[in-house]
Amino acid sequence: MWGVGTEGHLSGCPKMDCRAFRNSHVAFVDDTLPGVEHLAMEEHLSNCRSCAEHDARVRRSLMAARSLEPITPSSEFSSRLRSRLDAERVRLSTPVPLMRGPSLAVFAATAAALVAVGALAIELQFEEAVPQIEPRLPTVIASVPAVPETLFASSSALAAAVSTSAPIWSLAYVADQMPIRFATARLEEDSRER
Amino acid sequence: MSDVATVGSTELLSGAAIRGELKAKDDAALVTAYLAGEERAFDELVARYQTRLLNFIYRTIGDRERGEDLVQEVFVRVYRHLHRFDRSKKFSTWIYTIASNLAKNELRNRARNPLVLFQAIKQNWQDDDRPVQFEDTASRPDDLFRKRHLRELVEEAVTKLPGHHRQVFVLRELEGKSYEEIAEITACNLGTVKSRLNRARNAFAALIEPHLK
Repeated sequence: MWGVGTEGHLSGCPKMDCRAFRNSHVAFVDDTLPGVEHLAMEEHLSNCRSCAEHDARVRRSLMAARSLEPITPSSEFSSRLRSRLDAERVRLSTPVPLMRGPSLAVFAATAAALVAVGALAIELQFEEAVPQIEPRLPTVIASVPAVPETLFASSSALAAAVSTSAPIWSLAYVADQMPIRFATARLEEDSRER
Repeated sequence: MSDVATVGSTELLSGAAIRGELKAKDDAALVTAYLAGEERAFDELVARYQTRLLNFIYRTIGDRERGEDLVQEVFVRVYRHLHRFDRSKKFSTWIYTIASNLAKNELRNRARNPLVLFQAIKQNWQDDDRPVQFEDTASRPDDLFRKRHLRELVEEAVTKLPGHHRQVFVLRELEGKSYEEIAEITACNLGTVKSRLNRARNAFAALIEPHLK
C-alpha cells in the first residue's frame, strides 16, 4: 500500500517511504486519512527529518494563505448589478415572437427566386410539348418458311448411313429439322384445304 | 396622514421581517422562494455570494476590476437560468461552476490576446509601485505594514501558480471547498483534484516559505 520495500514496524503499521508520504500529504494535512494511514504518516514524520520539514513548510505557508483577508465588492457594484438585472428582467419579460417576419431584402430575394423558378418550369413545359417524329418501320408479313431440301435429297444417303453405322451427326440434323418439317406440313395442309 | 404613516411603517416592518426570514433560509429554500415569485430571495443569494465569488475570481485571474465584471456576469447568468437549475444539486456548486468557467475563459482569452495580457501586467506594475512592496519586513516594527506586505506576497505567490493548479488551490484553501465539490466545479476527477492540490501546495510553499522565516 505504501510502496515497495515496506517492513514491519513496532506499532504494527508497515513502514512508509518518503514518496508514499508525499503522495498522501494532501489528505494528511486536511485530516481526511483513515486512522491507520494517519498513524503511519505520523510515524514517518517522527523518523524522517526531510518529510517533517516539508510538512512544517506546507502547513506554515497554508496558514499564511488562509490568513488572507477577503476583498469586498466596490461601492458601485450593487447599483451596476441592479441595472444589469433590471435589463435582463425586461429582456426576459418581453415575449419573443413565435416567427419573426422577413426583412424587405429577404422578401424581395424570395420573390425573385420564386419568379425565376416559375419561368424555368414554364420553359421546360413548352420544351416537352414539341411533337416527336416516330420512325416508320416496314410492315412484317408472315410467310411459309423455306424448307431445306436436304432431308429428302439425302434420304437414301441417310438410310445408307444408318445401315452402315455411319456417324450419328446426320440423325441429329434430321432431329433438328423436325419442328420445321411439322410446321411446314401443317401450313401446306391448311393452304390445300382453303 | 397618521394612517398613511402606519401603513408605511407596517410595510417596512413586513419587508424587514421577510428579509429576516430569507436570511434564515438555506440556498435551496431561497431558490424555491425566488421561483415562487419572491424577487427578494435573489437579492439574498447575491448578498450571500458576491464577496465569495469576487475573491474566488480575483484570486484566479488576478484582476480586481475584471473580477467584478465577471461576478456580475455570474449573477446575470444565474438569474437567466435559475429555472433550469437542478434543485437536487447544491446551489453553491452550481454558482461556483459558472464562476469557474468564466474565470477559465478569461485566462484563455488573455493567453490568446496579448493586448489584454499586457494591460493586466501593466496594472500589476502600477499596483507594485507601492514602496512597501520593496521594503524589508524585518526592519518594520509596524504589524500593519508587515501584514500588508505578507498579504501582497501571498497574493503574488498565488498568481504565480499554473492556472489549473491555482483554481484548485483557491477553491480549497481560500474558499474551503471539499475535494468532491472541487471535482464537480472544475469537471475533474477526484484523483486529479488531489494531485493538483498537492502540486499547488508544494509550489506555493516553495514560493512563500522564504518570506516567512
